[in-house]
Amino acid sequence: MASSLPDWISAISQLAFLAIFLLMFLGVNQRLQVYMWRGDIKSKLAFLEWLAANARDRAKEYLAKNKGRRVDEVVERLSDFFLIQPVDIEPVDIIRRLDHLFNVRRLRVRGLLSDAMPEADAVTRSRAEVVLEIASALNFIYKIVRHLLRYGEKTKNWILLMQLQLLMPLIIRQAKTLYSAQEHFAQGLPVGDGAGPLVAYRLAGGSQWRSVEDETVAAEVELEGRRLIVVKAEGPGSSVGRPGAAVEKIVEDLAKSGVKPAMILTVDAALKLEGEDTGSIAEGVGAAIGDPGPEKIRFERVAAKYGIPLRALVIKMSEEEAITGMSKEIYQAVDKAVERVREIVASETQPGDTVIVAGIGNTSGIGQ
Amino acid sequence: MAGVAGNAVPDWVQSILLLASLGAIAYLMARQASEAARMAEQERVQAFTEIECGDGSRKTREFRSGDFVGGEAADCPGGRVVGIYTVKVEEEKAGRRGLIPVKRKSKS
Repeated sequence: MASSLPDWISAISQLAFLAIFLLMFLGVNQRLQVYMWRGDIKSKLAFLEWLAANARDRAKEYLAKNKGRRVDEVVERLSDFFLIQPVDIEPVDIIRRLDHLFNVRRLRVRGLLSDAMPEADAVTRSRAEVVLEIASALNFIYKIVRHLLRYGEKTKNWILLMQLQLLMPLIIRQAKTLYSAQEHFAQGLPVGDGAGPLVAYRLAGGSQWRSVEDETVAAEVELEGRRLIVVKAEGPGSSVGRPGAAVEKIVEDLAKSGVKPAMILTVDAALKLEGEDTGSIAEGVGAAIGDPGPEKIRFERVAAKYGIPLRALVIKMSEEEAITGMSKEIYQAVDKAVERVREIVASETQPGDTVIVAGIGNTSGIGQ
Repeated sequence: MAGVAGNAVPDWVQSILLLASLGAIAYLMARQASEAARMAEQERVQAFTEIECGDGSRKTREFRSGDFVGGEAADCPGGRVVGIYTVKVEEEKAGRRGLIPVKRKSKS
């Protein structure tokens, strides 16, 4: 009997099905899957490498444009700069040790940039610092992914490769955000995290600012019959200042003259949950500051020492929006936050009281 | 007409199912290949500066290098920058291997 085409197709289908079934028993499907994951990771790794290399080139360009010296050497030195976390099994003075390490790091990086850009002003150098930090962060991300991929291949750890492949979209998204942020910081644009300092700027009106701490300023203004002391980092360079140390100093100085603040209110950007609107405002209790510990603990300690209510107001945004140019939604939310501050101060303090409002965040593009 | 060896499913249905499976696999592989191109797409933003003039009026213009909140603005008498914000423009599609950006018309 002559075979027809459908007979052949049917026979081939059944053979293929049998072969696939046997190969599955031998684990070939898993090896095929690992092969596909590796290919996917490698293509994304190439993109991460491109981002890291371009970020480094942009950093060199920024330094060269601002009459930097030994540009290549400075960028290469700072791209692998690291900080070793202090011992935490003995937590007794961990804050002091952490503060010390951050100070040393800050002074070292500034020292390198002062030597490399002697003719640049402080604002340009502060922007260079951030541009270099982002280049360093992208370099680190690229190296970590490359390490995990090679380690997974060497040890044939398919679970590690699977996890890495599943995480790659998130890693790529964060890397692209950092890459965009580098351009915005270099241009001197305010970023989403500058919402807190912008609220402080609005509250201060045209009041005179004075330096209180390293890269931190304060101004006094009358609000609803209360004496408002507004604190923020000194701009328009890219800095977060030392708001905790500044507020601690202000409270101690006030205590010496017999004045106890009626409230300390911190205003900061906060990460929104998926589904929440950018620019939505929420209030609560505690120190709204995202630092690793040294500044935040100063707010908490000084408030607890003198029994001062510690209130918080946050403007919600995504992680991407926080480090890239301030969006219109966040900009519009700043005015709403200023109104909310007025309401909180009016409803929770008495006329004649002294209130401290700290605008927490990066002051890139936000002066006094 | 019955299929080979009296199968309940006709042979032409099996052929179509096989072709559909192969088509689906080809589509998924092509989609994964195009993911590399989509990965390099970059969102662009346009920055604007808001200025408050001495008479209290406000105006908005494109951001210029050197603008900062609190800084003086020469756009009007007594002008001072009161705000700077960004607006997303239409996505910029990347060229081959995502290395060469190709600018598209931006929306205002």
